[in-house]
Amino acid sequence: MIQFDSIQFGYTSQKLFGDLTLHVEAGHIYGLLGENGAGKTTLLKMIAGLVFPKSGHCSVLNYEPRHRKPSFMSQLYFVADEPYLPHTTAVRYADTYGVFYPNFDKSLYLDYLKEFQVPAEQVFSKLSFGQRKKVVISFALATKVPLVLMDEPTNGLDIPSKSTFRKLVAGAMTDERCIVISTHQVRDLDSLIDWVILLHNGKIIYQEDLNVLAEKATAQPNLEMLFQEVIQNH
Amino acid sequence: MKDTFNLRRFGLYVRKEFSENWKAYALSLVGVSAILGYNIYQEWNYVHSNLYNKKYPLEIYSYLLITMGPMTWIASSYLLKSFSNRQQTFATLTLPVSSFELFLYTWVIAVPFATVSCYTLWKIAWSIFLPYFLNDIPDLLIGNDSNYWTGNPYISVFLLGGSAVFMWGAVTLGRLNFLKTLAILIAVGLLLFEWGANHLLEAIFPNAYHIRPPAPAPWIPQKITIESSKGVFSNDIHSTFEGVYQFWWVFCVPLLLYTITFLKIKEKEV
Repeated sequence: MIQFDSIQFGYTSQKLFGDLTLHVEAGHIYGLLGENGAGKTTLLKMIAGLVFPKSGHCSVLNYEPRHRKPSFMSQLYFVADEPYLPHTTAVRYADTYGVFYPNFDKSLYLDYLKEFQVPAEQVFSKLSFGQRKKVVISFALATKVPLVLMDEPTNGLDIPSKSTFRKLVAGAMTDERCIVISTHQVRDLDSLIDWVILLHNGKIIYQEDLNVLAEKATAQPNLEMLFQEVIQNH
Repeated sequence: MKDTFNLRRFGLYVRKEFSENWKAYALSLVGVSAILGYNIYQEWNYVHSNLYNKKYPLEIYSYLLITMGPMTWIASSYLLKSFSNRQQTFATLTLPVSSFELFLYTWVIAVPFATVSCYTLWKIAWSIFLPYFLNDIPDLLIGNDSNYWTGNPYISVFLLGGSAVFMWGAVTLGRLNFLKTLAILIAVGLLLFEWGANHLLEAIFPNAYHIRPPAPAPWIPQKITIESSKGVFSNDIHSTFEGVYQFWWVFCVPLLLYTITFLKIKEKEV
């Protein structure tokens, strides 16, 4: 689904990614972890074709992301950390934006909003930051696209909503779908992700199936400890 | 090809844009109507004043250009407003719409749609008020110099070149891009046609002790008057805005600027 080989990138002359290699398959929820400034958001943007690598091979859903072809963009959805929403309501938003995604399910979207307790007829400008984020998460899951990218999706969500978020994401998961969640709040992803990707010093230093780790350790791995352990060893 | 242009997708994009921006579009039409209203009020006052000269034709065309020009410029800048804000740029670039469709929509609304809207409002306004003018002054002369509109390349440079420059500015200059583009245009104009032309003429005619260059616009044939010890010398300077060279200004320059804007959208990173 995502194949990055020897990717190099930097906003300035200083490299952010040097020889980054990443392979991501469908049917999993990936947790993209890393320290502040490690390049998690940039990596997600590169997957969506919003920034272009300086060199290396980059393929997402068999497309080269930088071309941002509509047939490619309609197969992925990017939940930004601070999403932009126009001056409209959640219902009208579904009518005008849902049509761009072939498998968009409006009733599912409204169900998700109900689960999140977001008023569907309220204008976005009157919603709180957290509520707007819930709208975007609900929309992303209702598009039924094969690839969902989420940048700090739990930022701004209250504690019950974080639990709802985990429930909805887990429920929306299929074998054909892949969800990549970038966060520095690793506790929010506990028992949700099945693969962990650690980004450090411009490289993927750790990529492991948590189910395999759990089998070895006979318990669910603690993401926070795992993160600190891996970072310290590098 | 479907990834470059798809009629259904383009239609959906048009619907989305109209549903989000219809208030701004309506407001712009109100603005145009207000300008036309002012023009009619001004002309009405003039023809009813003591200063009125019967040889003076009622000038109804000038305000058509005055509304069309700024309308296309503002529309070009406004329609690409999402590129002045990082969050909106993000939302625009992740929407499954091709760069060409995005550009095409902007161009269609900013140029043909805006000019046709201005023309329609102008036509309606004058067809309502002209009978009142003719009722009061039956022998009123009406300026209907259509040659000025159909044969003058100045109009297409004003509309096409202007819209292309403001579209380019919208994609590259961020916040307040309209004002920034306007400031750059004025600065470049002054630099090239005032300072540059004067210095060029001084270099060509080093012995002249007084050079009077004409209006600072490339499409107006330059008339130069030089006073020197040998007498007064006056001549027309031919420009690239004459003859077949007009093609460069009317067609090539806007096309070049539109192409740059399109590529800027296509290669935009956020």
